[in-house]
Amino acid sequence: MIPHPVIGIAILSIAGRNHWLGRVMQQIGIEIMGTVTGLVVVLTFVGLPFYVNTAKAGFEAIPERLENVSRSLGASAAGAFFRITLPLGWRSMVVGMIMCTARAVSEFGAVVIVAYHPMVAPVMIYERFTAYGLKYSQPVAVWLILVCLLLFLLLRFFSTPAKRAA
Amino acid sequence: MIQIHHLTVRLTGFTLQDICLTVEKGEFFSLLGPTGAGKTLILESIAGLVQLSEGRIQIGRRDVTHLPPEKRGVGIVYQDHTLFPHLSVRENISFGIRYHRKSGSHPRRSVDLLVSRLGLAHLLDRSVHNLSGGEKQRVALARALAVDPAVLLLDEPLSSLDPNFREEIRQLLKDLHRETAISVLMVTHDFSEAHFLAQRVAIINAGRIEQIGNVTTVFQRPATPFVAEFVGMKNIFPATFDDSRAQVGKLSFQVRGSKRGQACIAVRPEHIKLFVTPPECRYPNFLEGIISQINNQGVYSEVAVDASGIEFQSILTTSTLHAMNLIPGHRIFMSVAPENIHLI
Repeated sequence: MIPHPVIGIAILSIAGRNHWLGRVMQQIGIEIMGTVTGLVVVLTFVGLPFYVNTAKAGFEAIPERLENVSRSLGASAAGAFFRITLPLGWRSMVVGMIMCTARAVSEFGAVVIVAYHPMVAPVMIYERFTAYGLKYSQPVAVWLILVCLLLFLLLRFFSTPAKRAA
Repeated sequence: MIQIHHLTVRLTGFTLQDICLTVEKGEFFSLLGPTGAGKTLILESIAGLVQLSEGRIQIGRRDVTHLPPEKRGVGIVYQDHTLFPHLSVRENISFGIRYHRKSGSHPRRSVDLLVSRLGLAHLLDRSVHNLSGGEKQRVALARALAVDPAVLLLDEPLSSLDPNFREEIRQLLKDLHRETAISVLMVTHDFSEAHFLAQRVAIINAGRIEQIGNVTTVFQRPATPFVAEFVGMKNIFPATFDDSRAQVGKLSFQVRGSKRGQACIAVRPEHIKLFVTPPECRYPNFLEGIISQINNQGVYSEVAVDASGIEFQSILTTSTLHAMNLIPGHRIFMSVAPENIHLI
């Protein structure tokens, strides 16, 4: 619910020299501003809730009784997780990853503040549009649409449960 | 054998209070009670799926109170079958076998026997999604029995089934119990199921045991008004006793035995005899009333009769109802034999 430029500003603030975390990061050689690390941090920050919520909903939908029964049949807690919960829940983890990726691909507001370079697609569209006009930004937009379409197809593929042969 | 000593489970908004009961070796025991009485909680406490607040649980000679579920040797079958949806019938049934391999035993062979006994051989490679309710419940039973548990816990195993499957599974449970001599604890809210299957029952209400005993004893001699109502005594009235007479409002009843002070009388609806005209010979506890309501239930019909402001419930076969030509609002006579009036 936070405006994304604000996220960018917040991340830069704590990664800057005036914050103890920023100083620690500087000492161990991690740089946020204008680096791939910065991109990863920003996109993880905006995308992670999508992953967590989707995976959580998926795992919550698995009846606890299935685990109860598997425990009563002799499976340990770990056994129940790996033989019951994970096989039933991994799809929601994949779906969560796709959602997270889709969110990251479309991010602009926070990225443009933290890491203008190395340039991600939305920033590139913005730069080409402002510098050369609409025509130059269109090819990048088309590529971006194709990527999103692919993600959408993957989403459909993984969110419909597998039908086992009768 | 299962022994539960002073089991107490405190949850937010519900407490299972001081439950003590014993299921003998090879016994079919039933926990009866309305929805929300805490029956399933008792079952899950035995299976180790609930944190106990107080009390001890013993299975056989072992104290299992602090053992994890997988070490208790308890089979559990839930009402909704709870089959593993990502596994085939075969994989469901053999799920627990890898944890129970002992040297010298042949678990596969006993599973094969179980599969053929339960008539599941032709379903083994099917997915569990397209089985009928009865088949699903048979798979759930096979899966629980495949690991040769010391006790079998059944959580309303019949209530999600169609009537024809229900009869089939009910008979199967009875036969399996007889053949395997396993101790069974079944939770149900249906007294007729318990009557058919169980040797002893415990009636649970709001987290407490109301009565434990032989099925017939509980059915015939309920100890509390709640149990009386649960076993189908629809006429329960507070009464003032004076020796062998009970005063209910303006009505006075002759009863068997003697009692003094305040208590309740309870009468089964089928024990209230109805007459259209006063009979010639004298009947004990003869009353006059007005038919206030008739509910046709198909084969049986319930007739409510208002006598001096007290409503009695009687039951007749629908054909008798038509033969007697009973109509709401009409005058009717009734009588209850003193031996059919239970004092609670």
